[in-house]
Amino acid sequence: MIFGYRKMFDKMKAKNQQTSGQLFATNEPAGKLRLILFVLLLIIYWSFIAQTKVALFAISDNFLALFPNSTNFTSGVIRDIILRYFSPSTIMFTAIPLIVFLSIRKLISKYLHILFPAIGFKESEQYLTKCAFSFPIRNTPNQENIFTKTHHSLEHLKFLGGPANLVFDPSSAFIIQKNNNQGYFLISSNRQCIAEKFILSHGEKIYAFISKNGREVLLKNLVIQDGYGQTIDFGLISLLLFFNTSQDKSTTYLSQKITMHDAKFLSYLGKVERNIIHQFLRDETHNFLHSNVSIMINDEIIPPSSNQIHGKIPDISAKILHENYSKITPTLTKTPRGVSRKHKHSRYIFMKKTSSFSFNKENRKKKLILQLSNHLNEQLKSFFHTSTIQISIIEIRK
Amino acid sequence: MNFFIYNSIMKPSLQTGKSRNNQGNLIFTFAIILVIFPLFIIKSVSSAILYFFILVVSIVFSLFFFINFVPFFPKSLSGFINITHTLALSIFRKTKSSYHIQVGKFDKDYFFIKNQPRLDALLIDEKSAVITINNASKKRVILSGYQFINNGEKALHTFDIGFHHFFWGPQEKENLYGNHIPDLDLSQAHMHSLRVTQTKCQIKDEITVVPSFSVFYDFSSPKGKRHLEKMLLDISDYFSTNKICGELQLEINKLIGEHVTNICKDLLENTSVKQITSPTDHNSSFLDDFSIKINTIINMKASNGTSDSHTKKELVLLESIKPLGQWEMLNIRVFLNDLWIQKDVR
Repeated sequence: MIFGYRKMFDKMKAKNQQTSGQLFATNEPAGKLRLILFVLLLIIYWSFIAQTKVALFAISDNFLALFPNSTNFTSGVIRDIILRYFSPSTIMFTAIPLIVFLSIRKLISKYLHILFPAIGFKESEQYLTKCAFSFPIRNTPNQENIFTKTHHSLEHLKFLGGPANLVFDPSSAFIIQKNNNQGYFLISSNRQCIAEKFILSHGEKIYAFISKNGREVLLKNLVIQDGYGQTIDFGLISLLLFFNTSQDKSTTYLSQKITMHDAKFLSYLGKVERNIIHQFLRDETHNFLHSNVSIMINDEIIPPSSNQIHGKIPDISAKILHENYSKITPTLTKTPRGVSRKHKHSRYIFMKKTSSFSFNKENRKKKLILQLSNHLNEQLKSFFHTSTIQISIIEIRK
Repeated sequence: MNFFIYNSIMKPSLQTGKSRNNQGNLIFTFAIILVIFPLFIIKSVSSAILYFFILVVSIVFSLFFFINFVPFFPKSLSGFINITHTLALSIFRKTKSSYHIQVGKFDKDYFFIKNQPRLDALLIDEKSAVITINNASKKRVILSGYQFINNGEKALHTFDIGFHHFFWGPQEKENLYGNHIPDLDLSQAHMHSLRVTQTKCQIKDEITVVPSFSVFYDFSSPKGKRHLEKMLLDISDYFSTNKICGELQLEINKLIGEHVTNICKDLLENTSVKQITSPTDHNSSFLDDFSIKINTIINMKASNGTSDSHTKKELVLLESIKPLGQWEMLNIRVFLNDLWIQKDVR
């Protein structure tokens, strides 16, 4: 019996939520419908007040004297309508809900402004009005104000979200977050065009922006000393983080649901905090090269686990969360003959030799790239718990 | 990054003074409705009833209408009542009662918040968490979202639950054993010596070594919110007993760093210079093993039962260095950047 009631209650609750969702949908037709309904309700209410006794309460004799007694039926009706509909008491009664309505809008706007000082009071007010009645977008950007406005606008879209029209560079991407943490969506485009359009709906907010530059990681001047006491100076290792996505040519942009971990990781690429990711990749690369730099020197066999077909996304082992570092062993093994130390101010400086290794040996370089990308992908999965993000090595320069 | 936004609501404006005016306008409007209007329109009991009925209905309707368009406001009945309460208080209070917490930081100074306990609501972003404490010293973890503060509750600790990185020990380009450090002023020299002290340890043959580490950690909880909440409460308890409150970021960094140093000391105390610098017969060098061991120990879960003798040995070590046992969900990665060995050793 109790279960029956509970089921019924749940059903009613779900139905109510659905109705409420439809009633407060934020799109242009719904907004216009709400505006019409609102005006109609106000007229009905005004008429109702005009027909009650209260309409005549505040009418003074002086006010009545303004309207002479009716001589015929028509003038009588008009006099009655004016007296009832435009009497001070009717007007005051009609004005009350209107004043309350506008004051509440002001109150909530003020509250939003206090909560997000970066968003102005007028902006908050306009935001509410736009959501409620879907007034058309009046401003169109011109080239002069785009860059001055962008930063502020982004803050707004991060806190309150849509509705807004976004025009974005296809080389960039962004993550939107649906209301109440319902999920993260990566919006990107692979098309060769100048600009892509995206409509950010109400209840969706911008979680992070990722520019193409943000996805590039340049590791400069990595000096590696191998176990043989030889040093190799990697002038530049260029990495690119990319999303494992595919796009249908017919669609303008690609929207892909991503995990919370992926969203969190990507959100670090667009800001000052990207240094954390860069430093992590630098340290991991350094670690890997320190253990496996012998690939560049000795033509060793690549273990089957990292043997891949070029051009395809590396096959990465299943995600292990909170993996112990002990499980991460160097991919290649070596028999060290010299001092293996990372410190620069070594007592054995005389033992350091400049490597005789040559970058012309393309095969070795390819092997190194392959293994390094595998290693970095593995570490991304292991530490950041990413699943759709891959890393590829663009170039290694001495 | 090129993003162009078409929207009429995106005008930047500075409104600190204006918002005070708006508050005054709002109070003035309510005064008109509640005091002046009744003088003119309430002439009988029935009109008074009608007036108050219309007033209440229009307030409830308007609140319900607009609250539905603010994405982060809760949509339940209790949420509606709480928001109404918060909004009403926001008119009359001079001080701010709702705060936005981003990346573990209040939008005002924490100590300002602490001295003003009448908080109503907190809007917490996805990378933050807050611990509140009530009069009965009961703690509550508040994760992301728009959350209401119960009566008598205060914000005790805030966390940035994103990714973190810090260097522990001397910096990369520091000349640790240089006789002259002409470029450093007094405070820089002091910081320099402090960084050295952070990781300084002695090895078997009484030689001083100074490692420098790069430490990464994150709070992500694959097991779910409950585990994360438990861990945050544990961390909060730890710092509460040490009478530390506010933003815990730097304190956590320090604690993890000290933990790394302890492990390092424990691993190195029975090691000789020869072992560090000489070639080994193993697959990897001593320093590689050292780095792996630090990571194994620091990420080891004290509760894990194991039959592996190697792990058992490390667990013994773990006990001797008082692990961050209750923090076992922290995902930590330590990189050994440099190891400095006393210069005059031959």
